[in-house]
This record gives sequence, C-alpha cells and structure tokens, in this order.
Amino acid sequence: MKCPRCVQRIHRAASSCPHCGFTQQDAEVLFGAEDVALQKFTDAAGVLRMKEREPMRKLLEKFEKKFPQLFVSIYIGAFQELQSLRQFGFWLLNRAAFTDVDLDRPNENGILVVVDVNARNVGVTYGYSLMPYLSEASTFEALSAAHPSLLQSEYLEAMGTLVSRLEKTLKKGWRKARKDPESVLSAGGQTPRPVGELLQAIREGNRPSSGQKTAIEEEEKR
Amino acid sequence: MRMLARLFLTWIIADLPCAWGQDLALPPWDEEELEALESGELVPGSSLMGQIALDLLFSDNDEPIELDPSVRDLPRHEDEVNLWEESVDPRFYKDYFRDHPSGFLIDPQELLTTHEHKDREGFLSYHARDTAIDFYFYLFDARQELPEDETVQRLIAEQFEEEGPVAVVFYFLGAPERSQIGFSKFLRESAPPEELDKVLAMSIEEALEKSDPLSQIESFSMQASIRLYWLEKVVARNRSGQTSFNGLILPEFEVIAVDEPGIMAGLRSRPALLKSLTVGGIVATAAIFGFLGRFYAERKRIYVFPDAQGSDLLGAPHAAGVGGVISYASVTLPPSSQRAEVPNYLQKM
Repeated sequence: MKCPRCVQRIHRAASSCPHCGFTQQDAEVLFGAEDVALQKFTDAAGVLRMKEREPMRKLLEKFEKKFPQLFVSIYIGAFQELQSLRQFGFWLLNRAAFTDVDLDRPNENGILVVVDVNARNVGVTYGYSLMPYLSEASTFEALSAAHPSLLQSEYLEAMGTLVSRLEKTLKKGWRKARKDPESVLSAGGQTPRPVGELLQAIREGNRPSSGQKTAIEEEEKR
Repeated sequence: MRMLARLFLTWIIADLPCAWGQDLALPPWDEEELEALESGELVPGSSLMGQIALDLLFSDNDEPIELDPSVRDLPRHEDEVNLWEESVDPRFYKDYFRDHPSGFLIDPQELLTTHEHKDREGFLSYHARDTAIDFYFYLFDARQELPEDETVQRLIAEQFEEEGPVAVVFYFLGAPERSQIGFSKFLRESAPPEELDKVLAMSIEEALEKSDPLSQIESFSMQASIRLYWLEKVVARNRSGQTSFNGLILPEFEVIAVDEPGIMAGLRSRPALLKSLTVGGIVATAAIFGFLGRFYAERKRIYVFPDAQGSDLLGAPHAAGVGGVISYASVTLPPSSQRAEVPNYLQKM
C-alpha cells in the first residue's frame, strides 16, 4: 500500500501517512469536501466519438455481469492544472456517488480509472474490497498493456485492454481466495464480513444532496 | 587487349570468304575439252557410264536396252527375319520345356540384349512381388514354330500345376498376335473362362498398337500384368469364402474383396491396435468436448468474491487502493520509463 501523495509505503492500517501525514482531509482541501454525482463512464474531455461511447458502456456492463459485486468507472478529463492524478483518483472514489451503479456495488468494490488527456496520464484507484486482489504492480501492468493504444489516443481500445487485463488479475485472485479466503483477505488488510452485516452494506451518504457543487465542476471551470 | 581481340576478329571475318572461295573453286575447262564438248565428241557425265551404255549413246539405235537375263535374275537379299530358323533349335528344348525356370523371363536363344533382358526380367519380378499370380514369359522368335507336342498347357501341367496361381505366356518377338497363354489349374477353376481369355486378347491388342518389337513386348507385358491384377480380384471375389489361397494371397484378397475401406479391414485383423485406437479416439473426443465445455463455462462463469470489510485507511471511507499511474506523453519511451512515481510534493502545487 502506498500513500497517494508521497508514494511511500504505508501500513495497511495507517490512519495517516507516516512519511508526509497525508489523509483524506488533505485531498478534500484540494478537491472539495462534498460528494459528487458521477456516472460510471464520464467523458468530460469529449475525446470519444458518439459511436464509441456505447461500446464503452457495454464494456463496463460486461465487466459487471462477470463480477456481480464489482464495477469499473472511467473518468476522462481535460484538466488545466491537476496537481496529482493519484490524489484526485483517491479523492474521487471516496466522494463519488455513482448514479448508474447498483446499490449493492458500493464504492469499496469499485475500480476507478482516471485519464487526464492534457497531461496525458492515466491512473487506477480501487476500493478496500479489492485490496487483496489488486496492487500497484498489477494495475501498472494492465496500464502498460493499454499504453500502445493510449499513445494513439485510441481511448476505447485502451480501456478495453485495461479492463481485460484487470479481469485476468481479478480471476487469479478469485481462484486463490476460493482456496484460502482468510489468508488472501488478511494479506489485503481485510477480514471476512459477518453474514448479518451484508444486508446493510449499501452505500449511504454517497449521493450528493441537491444544490451541492461538485469539485469536478469547479475543476473544469478552472 | 580488347582492341587487339577486335582487330583479330575483324581480320578473321574479312579473310574467311577468300579462303572459302579458294577451296570451293570449280575445275576450269581446258581448251581441248571445250572444243570436244562443242563438237559433240564429249558428253558430260559419260565418264560415269559403262561401255554398253557408251556404245548405245554414240550409236543411232533408239530401241530400249534389253537387260542380260543373268543380270536380271540376280538373287535378291533375303529379309533378315528369314535368316533365323523357323523352328526352335533342339538344344534349347531343355531350357524351354524341361527345366523349371529360374526367373520369370525365359529366353535361352538370347533374342533380347542383356540390357533388354534385365529390363523385362525386372518388370516381371516386380509384378511377382506386387500380385499373387506369377507371370512366366517364354520368348520365341517371330516365325518360330513350337516343337510338335510342346504346348503351353503341357508346360503348365509339367512345371507349374502345383504352384498355385500361375500364368504362362509364349510370346513371339515381333509377332505378338501369335502369343499363347495358359493358366494353372487354380486359376482355371477360380476364374471364368472369359476373364482368362481377356488377358491375352487385351495384351495383344495393346502390343499391336506399337510397331517396334521392343515396344510391343513392353506394352504386352505391361497390359498382361494389369489384366492379371484384375484377374486376381475376380478370383478373390469368387473364393472369398475360403480360408486360404494356397497360403499366399488370401489375406490380401480379403482386404481387396470386401466392400469396406481397406484400413478398417486391416484394423479388424489387428484387434489390439483397433482397441487402442478406439480408446484413444474416445479419450481425444472427450478431451476436445471437455476443453470446449470448460472454455464455454469460463466465458459464462460469474466471479463472486468473499465479502470482507476493511479499516478506514488514511481516513478514507471507501477506497485507499492507490494503483499505478502511467504517462503516455512520449511515443519513444517504453511504458516502464513513463511510470509516474514522483511524490506530489515535488510536483507543482
């Protein structure tokens, strides 16, 4: 586990980064302390053609069909001066209220891909539930596979490759967890959830109240 | 150097017609001959004539020349064929009719050259290896008559009756239409007579299409070999109920005769191989179906992870999994060199 700001290794139970003291509040200072309404696929930069948007949505739906607890969200933005893609991804996955994601797929089970088309950077952030299965190395490997398409600015193709690689990694993790769930979960800083609490595992407070300004709107206005 | 060569070639080309002209110069007339020619005393070409012709030429007699009867009745050269005896020399009887042949081509008179003999002998040996019916080829000259009481059937009765399926041909070199054929008892009893007759008739027909005696014998033997191969099939069909074909060819006949693919019949004769192939086929089919089934199941599989709960890392309520970040600004640098790992406090804030 790494800190989104100083990229140093931190303990999986650290409430703040022991190296730079980073917390969620630091990210909220930068991007806003309120929840933001978001669709699982957002092309704020407008780089995808009309005919490419529907295949992109289908790609995400296909993933959700295969992994009924998980979801992938893709945010493509054209930021003027984004200080840190890592911090932005970290903040967004914690503050986003996905309007088109089922309630039984909380943000803990989400994978967020953020693309900055101006700085030409792509980053991946994932929820707590996926920490036993994904890592910085495996996500970077998936991003590397998508790199040739990214260089050509073929975002649909790049995202297809990226999601496909992530699926493979998740399948591997699923096989390991099936054999020995406790050790796999504990390695990712997780504990098996009691059955009684499963029904309460819905996202509450992630939907923005009316009149709230989103940090994304502010960012894009800037 | 090239210039010298050109000069040499030019000199050769220029000088060649002169030298050629000297060699081909016509003989010149001398004065005396020219006068004799003009006076009629010399007739061009008369030096080539005999005395009788010269006398007649310079006489006034225009009557046709009567040839000397002794000259007219000069004996004509006999055809080369007539130089050969029309009967087989008795010294060859033993090789032809008494001894069992050591090869498939019997030519004690050496009508064929060594090379031709080897060629035909090789073909007949190949035929013997390839088919069950042995084919013996007795060679005689075109006009030769067989000795009295010597027939192909008698030869078979004396030499080949007990051998199984055998065909014997008496072939007359240069006269294929005179050829005779005989079959051993086994074949006479197993094949219909019309099939036996067809062997000789079609072989003669094939040979007569050629004019050269060597080509004829080649065509004849080849066609006879083909017909014997088909005869073998006919015999196999007629005797399919039998368990042996004089210990030689019935297994082969079984393969050919039944109306099933040869491979299957061969496999039935080897049950162990058939069994292992069947088991292998079943296993392979099951493996293919298993692979396809697994592939389909993998495609349709739904992955459900064990439910878990985690602590609030860095004070974040839902997610703290910071994954990789990659830049795609440079088309020349590889992805690993564009891994963004610089701490944010070193970047522009």
